[in-house]
Amino acid sequence: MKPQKYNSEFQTPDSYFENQKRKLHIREGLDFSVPENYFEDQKNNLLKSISQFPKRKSLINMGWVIAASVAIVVSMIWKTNNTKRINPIALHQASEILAEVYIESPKFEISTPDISLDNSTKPNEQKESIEKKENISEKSSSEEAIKESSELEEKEEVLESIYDIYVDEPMQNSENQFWYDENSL
Amino acid sequence: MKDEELLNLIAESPNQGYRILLELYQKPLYFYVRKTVLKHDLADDIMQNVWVKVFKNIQKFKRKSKLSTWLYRIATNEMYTVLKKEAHNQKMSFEEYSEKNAENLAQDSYFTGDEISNLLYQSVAMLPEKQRKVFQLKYFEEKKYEEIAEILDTSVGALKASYHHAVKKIKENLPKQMSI
Repeated sequence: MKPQKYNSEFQTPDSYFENQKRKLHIREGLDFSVPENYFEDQKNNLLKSISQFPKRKSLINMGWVIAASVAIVVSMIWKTNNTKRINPIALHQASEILAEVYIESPKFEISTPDISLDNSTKPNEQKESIEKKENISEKSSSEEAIKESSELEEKEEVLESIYDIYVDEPMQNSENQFWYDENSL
Repeated sequence: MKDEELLNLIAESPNQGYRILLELYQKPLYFYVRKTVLKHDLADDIMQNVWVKVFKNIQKFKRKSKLSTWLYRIATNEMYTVLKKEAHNQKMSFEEYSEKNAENLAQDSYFTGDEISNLLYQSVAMLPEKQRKVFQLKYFEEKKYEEIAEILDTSVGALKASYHHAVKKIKENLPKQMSI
């Protein structure tokens, strides 16, 4: 068989390559520009700020130590107020408070939202039920859609059809605003 | 560099590790955020917050997912939180704010796309939040459904349905917008 036959049978439409370039263009963020040296400046600023993290942390820890110490003293005075001597139970309780503060203190440094992705911290049932509630309308109305979209995953025909819209649409611009810049790819 | 190696490097030599982390993910994450929020200033603010959160929490990352998945999750959460705050500050609904934001895209001096790009971003901005998130990650970032499910903390089935709806809406909206 002539290789040419295969070529003609399996010839990819020109639009395929055009679409791939467009997709790459969008993916690389080439529709957007940034100020000069933006990324380098941001990187340097971030690296500079990282070097200050340990200092901040020690300051925060120091704050908690002072707060814990004050709590211990107040607790001991209160407990020994009547007996005029140090109460060993109060001392034990105070040391527990201090230990707890040391253990717990890192939690107070960060007010981070939901960023855990570890399997050990999978979302709880409550969260899942909220998620399910949010999805009910879509799920119930789209059982057929799910079936259809499973085919989508492999073929991505719908995706291609989006490109086709662009391809079929005559370009309104000329050279300056063409979809992609060969040099930039 | 593999995730494992990078995370070990960050633990042993933070400055060097963070530098490599930034070199690997700074641009992809920025443009992921930028394609959603559209404005550079907003994307810049969001990325500052994202990186601070990453640096503060990376030691707690238990390595049970891909590092990129974790980073995209933080970026996604942060940008939608900021977008909602912005909408609230301007006394608009999230949808109204997104639509208005996208309409002004053409006037942005940092937007270098053409008219069709502009219309596509506008169409995406008009999608409901969940469909928009899925579309951004699937279409623009070319993530697999399994990874998107981890980033958005939802099921693959729901994602596929959302993506299907999103594509359908964009297919309907684009020709209308082009004819305007």
